[in-house]
Amino acid sequence: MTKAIKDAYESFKKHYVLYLVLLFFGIIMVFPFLWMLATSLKPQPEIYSLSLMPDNPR
Amino acid sequence: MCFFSLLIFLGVRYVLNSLKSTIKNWWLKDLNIKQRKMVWAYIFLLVPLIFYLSIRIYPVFKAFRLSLMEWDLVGSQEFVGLDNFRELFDDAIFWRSLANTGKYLLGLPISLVIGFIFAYLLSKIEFAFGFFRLIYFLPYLTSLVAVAWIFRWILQPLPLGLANRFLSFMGLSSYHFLEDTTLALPSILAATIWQGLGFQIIIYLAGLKGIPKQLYEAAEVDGANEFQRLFKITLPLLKPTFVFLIVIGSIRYLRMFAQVLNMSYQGRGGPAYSTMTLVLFLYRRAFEHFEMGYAAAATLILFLIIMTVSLIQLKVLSGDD
Repeated sequence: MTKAIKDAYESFKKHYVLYLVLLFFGIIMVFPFLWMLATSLKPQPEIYSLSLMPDNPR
Repeated sequence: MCFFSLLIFLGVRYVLNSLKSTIKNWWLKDLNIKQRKMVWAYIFLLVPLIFYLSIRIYPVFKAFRLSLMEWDLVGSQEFVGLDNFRELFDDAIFWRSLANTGKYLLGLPISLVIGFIFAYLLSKIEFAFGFFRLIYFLPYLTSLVAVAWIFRWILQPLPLGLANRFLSFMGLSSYHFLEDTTLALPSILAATIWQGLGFQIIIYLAGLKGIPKQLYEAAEVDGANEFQRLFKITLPLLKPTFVFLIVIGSIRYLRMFAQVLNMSYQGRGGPAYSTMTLVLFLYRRAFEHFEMGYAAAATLILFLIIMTVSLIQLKVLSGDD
């Protein structure tokens, strides 16, 4: 088990720039879904606000 | 209820058994085992064939016939010869939507390159690989209409849209993306590319996994650098994947419909027909103006275009190897 974690850490250390790039574009890919989820919890007047945390969740 | 279904089951079994024995005793009497096997294979193939012919092929020919008619969906069909095609070739909107479809097709090479870059980067990592693959595949799993409406929100003018808020945050001027005749088409295309990316990445990853590791090891021993390995091993061996993605993708881009219907200004391929595609054009002709014959003629043209493009691609791309 510890070896697996160590391998994962080695791979992460070797490619950390790659991980940053992938994470940045990953956020772009996921953001609409997070926003969809947030909007589904928002009351009507809040639907155009950008925040991902609903102020008055319903 | 249970009794009746049992009765039906027994009846069906009896009919099938008697049919089987008839075939065995009468038709297959003089054949050897190999020929019998062949006959049975064809009999079983006949069932899906009949289904396919009646569900897919027959309506296609019906549509071809309809392109020579004039029909408003309720009245009687009237034979008008090639009038529909003559009218179609004089229709400026038809040519406009044909040109737009060509422009949408330009999204294919862009998405192929972006998809390959992401798949190549993803194939390098090991830690959290499944997580990243899931993230990039997520848009493809989502409904087209939902994605179209989210992008519609992102591209709204200033007080609402995310893209414009970002632009003004960076100190740049804002745009009316979907109400502008030059920006509307690229905006819709961007949403389509964003959604199709996940599918391409998955197919690329499968192709990359299929390349034997020994080739890379041998190249490393020979002192080939990253770029040489990419251009001499990866890209040539991914050719079947490219062929598949180009054929599937060009059909997808030639048939653009739901995105335009949901994202364009008032859902009509506007502003000023700048985002109209062939499929949207024939849809509006058929189900808003009820000119079925005219729409069928446009469908025939679209069918011919897709068939020609696919045949050329298959011929050119999979020719030499």
